[in-house]
Amino acid sequence: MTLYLRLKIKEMLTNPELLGWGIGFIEFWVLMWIFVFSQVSGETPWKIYVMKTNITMAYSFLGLLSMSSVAIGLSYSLFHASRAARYITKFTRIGVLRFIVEDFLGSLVAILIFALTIFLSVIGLSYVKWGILALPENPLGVMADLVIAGIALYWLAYMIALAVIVSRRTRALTMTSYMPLIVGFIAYSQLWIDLGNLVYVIPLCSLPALLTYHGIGAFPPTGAYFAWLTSDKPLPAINLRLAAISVFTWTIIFITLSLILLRKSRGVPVEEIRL
Amino acid sequence: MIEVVNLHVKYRWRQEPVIRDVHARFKDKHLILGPNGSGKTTLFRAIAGLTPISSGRIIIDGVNLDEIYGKPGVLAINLSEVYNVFHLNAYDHLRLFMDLTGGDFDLALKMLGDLGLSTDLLRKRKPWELSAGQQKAFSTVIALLSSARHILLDEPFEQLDPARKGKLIEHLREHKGVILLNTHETWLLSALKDWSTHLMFEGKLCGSMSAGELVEASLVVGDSADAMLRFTVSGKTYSLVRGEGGEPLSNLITLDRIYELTLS
Repeated sequence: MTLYLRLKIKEMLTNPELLGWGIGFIEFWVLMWIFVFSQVSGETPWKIYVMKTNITMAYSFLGLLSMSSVAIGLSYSLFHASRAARYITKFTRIGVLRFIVEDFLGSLVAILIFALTIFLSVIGLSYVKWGILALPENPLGVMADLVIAGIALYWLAYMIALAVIVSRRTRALTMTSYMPLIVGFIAYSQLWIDLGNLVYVIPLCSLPALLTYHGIGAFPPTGAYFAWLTSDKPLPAINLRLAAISVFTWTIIFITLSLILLRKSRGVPVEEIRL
Repeated sequence: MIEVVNLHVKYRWRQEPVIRDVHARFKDKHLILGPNGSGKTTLFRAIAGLTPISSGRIIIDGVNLDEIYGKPGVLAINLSEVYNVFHLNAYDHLRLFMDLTGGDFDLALKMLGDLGLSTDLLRKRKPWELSAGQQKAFSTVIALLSSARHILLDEPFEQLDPARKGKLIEHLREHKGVILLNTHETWLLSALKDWSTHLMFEGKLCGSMSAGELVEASLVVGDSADAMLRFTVSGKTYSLVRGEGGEPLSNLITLDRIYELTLS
């Protein structure tokens, strides 16, 4: 592992703001979800299944929110280090491609550690409350979903930072950097709202469905997850193939736009950073 | 060698150019002397590829700047903004840049110690948490020890105390390779007499002549027949003449005072 990569991971895992929003804040909602909002109990197979689904939904939605929070910090750090990045790629032994790959890998590892922390705390705390070890039906599938979410959110954050740099709208960063969290909350709103076919169109909205599928093995609906969990009324099931295509397409769009913007970026002078 | 050809730079398309039609070849040790706001730092940013250029070319050792990527040993600059990469302490940043450029980490620690930045301080503070003078010393040492053939030093003496200025001058004298050093302080002329000196006013570069010649020159308002160098500031022509025919340049202390002369 190169020193740049190690320091990138160290930076993200020791940044108090990222730790506060990505773990501290989300852990609060993990506790609320499990100990306050979840009233389900019982020992029948159906009740246990419902509880496991509830736990799967908790780590899916809250894990995604945690990753979205971290992506805000990523936008900021990419923006502030834009001059340094330009200099590093020209006059040190890290060329452009290696810089992108190492920055991406470092960020991805850190994002996944954040998401896995939320995942493990949900599993652990639900075991404390109900004595149920709700391990995913398909752990590799859940891991793959988290990796895809991390990749998509990293490139979304990168695209935002670069768009601000290239357009020289430095004051817009405060507003635009929250886009990953807005995306995360739109996805989170599916707990109550059925987005219908919009779930395939809105960026990364179909990720919770993939996570839920790999977590519990059930075909989730296109939204209104709580209603799906608690009522007998059937809801339209999501098309998982379309959901996966949607996530991949958005990820490719974010990567492509980032690479186009990267060619035009020359960094932002310190004098222009007025946030 | 750094070659600057017909360089124009402006930050926004409607703005007046910050750099106007600069032509220069830098192949030894050069001082660029100019008042604040004359475009010295922008010239350095342009040479390092850190700001878009409106027109012109920059060629380093025969290679167009736009084609240089992933090449350690070509150029280093002491702008602190390029050394603030991570939300980590200055020690980690120093380690990173010495690793990426093949610089001597232990020597860098020693040189920073000479300039008053102990290893303990570097471990405790992030680069932007150092004082302005410490930040400048920190980035200057990284630039000097980056094993680069061309080093751009933007106001390296600013906010350094006199003892540390002396130490830094020693390090500059020892350094082999091309150095471009910009400053608005004229006292440096007598300390670096053998350096080639350019003057920069309102985005235009003029010269060069040796710092030794310049330190003995005087500034005369107007177009003098025996001028070594003429330049225009705020529409007024100035001439640099040998001897004491006008205001001795070394008396100005800082070239910012040129504007006071313009008004007089």
